[in-house]
Amino acid sequence: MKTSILNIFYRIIPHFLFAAIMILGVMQISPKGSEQMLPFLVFAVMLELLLIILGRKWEIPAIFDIIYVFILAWFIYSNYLNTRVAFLFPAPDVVIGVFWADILLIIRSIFSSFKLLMLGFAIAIILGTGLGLICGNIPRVRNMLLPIAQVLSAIPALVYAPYAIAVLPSFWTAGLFVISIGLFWPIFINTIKMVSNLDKELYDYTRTLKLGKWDLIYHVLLPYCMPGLFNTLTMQISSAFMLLIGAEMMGMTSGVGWYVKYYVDFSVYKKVLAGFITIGILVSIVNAGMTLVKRRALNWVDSKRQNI
Amino acid sequence: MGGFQTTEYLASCRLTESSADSAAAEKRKSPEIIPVCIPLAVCIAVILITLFIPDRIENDSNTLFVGLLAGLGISLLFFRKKQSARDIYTLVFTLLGIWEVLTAKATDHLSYLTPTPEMVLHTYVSDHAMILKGIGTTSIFLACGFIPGILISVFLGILTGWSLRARKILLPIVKVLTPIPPLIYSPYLVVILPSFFAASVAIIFMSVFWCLFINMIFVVSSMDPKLADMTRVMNVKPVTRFFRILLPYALPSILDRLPLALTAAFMVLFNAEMIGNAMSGMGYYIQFNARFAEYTKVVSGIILAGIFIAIMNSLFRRLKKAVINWQ
Amino acid sequence: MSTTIKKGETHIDRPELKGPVKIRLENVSFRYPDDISRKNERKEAVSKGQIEDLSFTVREGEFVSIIGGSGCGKSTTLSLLAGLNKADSGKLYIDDKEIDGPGKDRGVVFQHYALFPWMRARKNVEFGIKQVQNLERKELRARADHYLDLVGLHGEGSKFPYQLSGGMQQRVSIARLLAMETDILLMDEPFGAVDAKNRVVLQDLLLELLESDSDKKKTVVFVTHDIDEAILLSDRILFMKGRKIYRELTVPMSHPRKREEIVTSRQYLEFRKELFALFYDLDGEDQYENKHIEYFL
Repeated sequence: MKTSILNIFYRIIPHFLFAAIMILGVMQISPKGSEQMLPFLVFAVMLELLLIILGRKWEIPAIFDIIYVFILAWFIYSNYLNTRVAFLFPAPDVVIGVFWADILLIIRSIFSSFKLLMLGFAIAIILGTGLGLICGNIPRVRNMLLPIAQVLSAIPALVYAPYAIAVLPSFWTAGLFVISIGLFWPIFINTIKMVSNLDKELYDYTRTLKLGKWDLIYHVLLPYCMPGLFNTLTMQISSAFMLLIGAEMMGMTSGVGWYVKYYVDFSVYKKVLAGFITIGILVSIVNAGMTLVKRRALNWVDSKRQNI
Repeated sequence: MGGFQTTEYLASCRLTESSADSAAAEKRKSPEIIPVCIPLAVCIAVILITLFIPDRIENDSNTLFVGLLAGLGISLLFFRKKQSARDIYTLVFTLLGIWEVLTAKATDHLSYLTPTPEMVLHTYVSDHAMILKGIGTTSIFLACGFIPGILISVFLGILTGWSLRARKILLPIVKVLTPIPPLIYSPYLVVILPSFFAASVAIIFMSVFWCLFINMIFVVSSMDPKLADMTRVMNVKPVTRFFRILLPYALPSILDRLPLALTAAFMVLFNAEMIGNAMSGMGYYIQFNARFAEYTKVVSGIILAGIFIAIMNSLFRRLKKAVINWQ
Repeated sequence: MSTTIKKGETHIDRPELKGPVKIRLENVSFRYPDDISRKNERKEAVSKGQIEDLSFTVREGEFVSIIGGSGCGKSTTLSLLAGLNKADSGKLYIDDKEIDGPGKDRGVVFQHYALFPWMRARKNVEFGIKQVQNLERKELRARADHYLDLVGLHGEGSKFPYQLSGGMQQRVSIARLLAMETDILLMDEPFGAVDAKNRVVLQDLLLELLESDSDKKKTVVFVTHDIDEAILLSDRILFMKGRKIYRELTVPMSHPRKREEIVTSRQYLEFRKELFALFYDLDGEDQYENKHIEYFL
């Protein structure tokens, strides 16, 4: 990009927006009290610092434009324009304040959700890959199970939840079951497809080596299925969260989904909105973790072919 | 599983498959009787068990169940030429038989958690009014949220994916927003929106939107550069480019994605029906009966939902076959 | 001088060539099972890659090329030798033992390299060695590096296949083949997917490697559709047509060979012309259609 006036203008806009947020925030100190506004101002400053650190890339100012405009609009609407019941549309400073006050509970919820999600992933990956490797190898079993799996995988696992809750000993195990089964089918189907599409030459080569059963699985089939597995996981992440939240809302006593549901029942909407943001954070953590693991595990895949 | 070598095993599998195929090909001229007999035999065995081994619990009339089995047995004759279809039928009959034996024949006490197949089938007759109404409501809700969701997400997604700048700016935000399940908004939306209908439609819309939007961005941005350059060289007008090039290019992945979107939409709708003050719907039917510990009806609701989605998905597949004739 | 034989005469053994018989095929027939998915569209049987009543022998230390048009069964022959397919009838022997599935006495190179993309180049070579021999880690690595150096990949051992060009990937695959130190090398159009410049380099490399092999024990069966490649590399050429061996020709040039010297020699040009004539059937029924090819000769 050329260093023109336009460019400088483009770079400066987010800082102006930040200044506007700060001014409005400081103006609210007198009616609302400083301990109410302080977390919000700290949060805004942190965002600004992030902007300064990341600001070299050209798309960053635009991203922060969007974030700042959103916060500004929310702030102005809830503090000045909203004439309906205030507790339904809490101001951003109120929501940020929740993090200040509830931080321990929120962190505990994140951990609880994270644990459930990871366990679900682990079970689904182990079962899906294992059974997929076995079934994919036997054409007759594959042809029989693949259509069935395709029908079953389309059923949203959440519909099993009421029955699972009744049959299984606790809400937690029912939740784990729902998440695992929801993730199991796509992974299973993908593994079967990968195994049966093993590159012809590679397959012939492994045959000329007379590989043993475990060597074949460990050295050839498993690594061969990895890119597909990661693709499936990336695609299933949103559905995994859906299952997690749904399961937690159905009667668990911890986790982010529970947090939201609990405060909806008590009509504490500032905490509900804080819960939304918490889930955003959790999602980002899981996404970042996934990218990290993927980059390490798939270092042998041409990065040009590795989209997403 | 002893010391045999998997490679040979695999090879033998492939060989047996192909030799089985060629054997089947030779046999095609003469009607093949033995392969069809296996699923049919299982079917008849299950029917006989149902009819002649007395129930040890109080059970509903078995007419429906036997009728279902017989119907499936007859429908098998239409698919008898495919080995996979025969295997699937065998498996289904076996599972139905096991279900019947375990719940009705081999146990003395009736557990409210494990209904017999007869009881489940019976609910479809006794509750047909509520079930039909539920299917109707769910379909209307889905249609109202699903169709606008597809149209808008495809439109915006293609535009965003085509422009490098828009993609770079929006993608980081979208990547965070996409996996946040719309489910979580549902309790809040039920409160702030005027009616349950509006809230449900809004949630379905969101789930479909997020499901397709990011996908569209990726599909369009990973378009073959040669094709993209070609359109640039030919100086195609933006409107033509959208409707004649980008939309057809993205269409297969849109249609591939529809089943996923449907699953997501169904999931949020189900959840909304559970939380909000729904009056009917398939999710509501399951949830309503779960509340009164009517697990027979819960099981029949789950099966019904499965069948509904399977039918929708096969419709999508038909649609894809009809629309995409160039792949 | 070339030995040509009449049509239909298939069993050839020329004891004056070299050492003991290594590979022997006796009246081998094979036909791929019909592709069931295709059958609905086309009623006729797919006759691609069929072979019928095929017999030939390869002696120890010999380099034999099988050439022919596409679908003539040359790759099928190789897959039977590799043990990937079982002959419908007839027998295949190696060292007078019947072939029963793939074996560790034969190394195979495929057209598209068949490297494991998740293993670095060295690991690919090591993995091949490990299947035939149990070695210490250090020895394993040393041997892998030795063969990588041999094919001109010094210092590239820690790269993944995707980071290497097609020619380099085929080098790795050749290094893997040689590192397994098998007596029999089976190569299925190994340079078919490599670009023209690299193909020349790799042919020279293979020639050099085999000629510098001190005890001359390596027996090679090489499938190709490139006539020049076959002449340059092999001792004997089997020309396949219509499911069987149509002609057998002995390459009239001695080792060691140098490409520059060979391609300009009279012998080479004559031999090449003869092969071309065979390949494009210039004296056969399709004479009229193939008239234009004579201009290239």
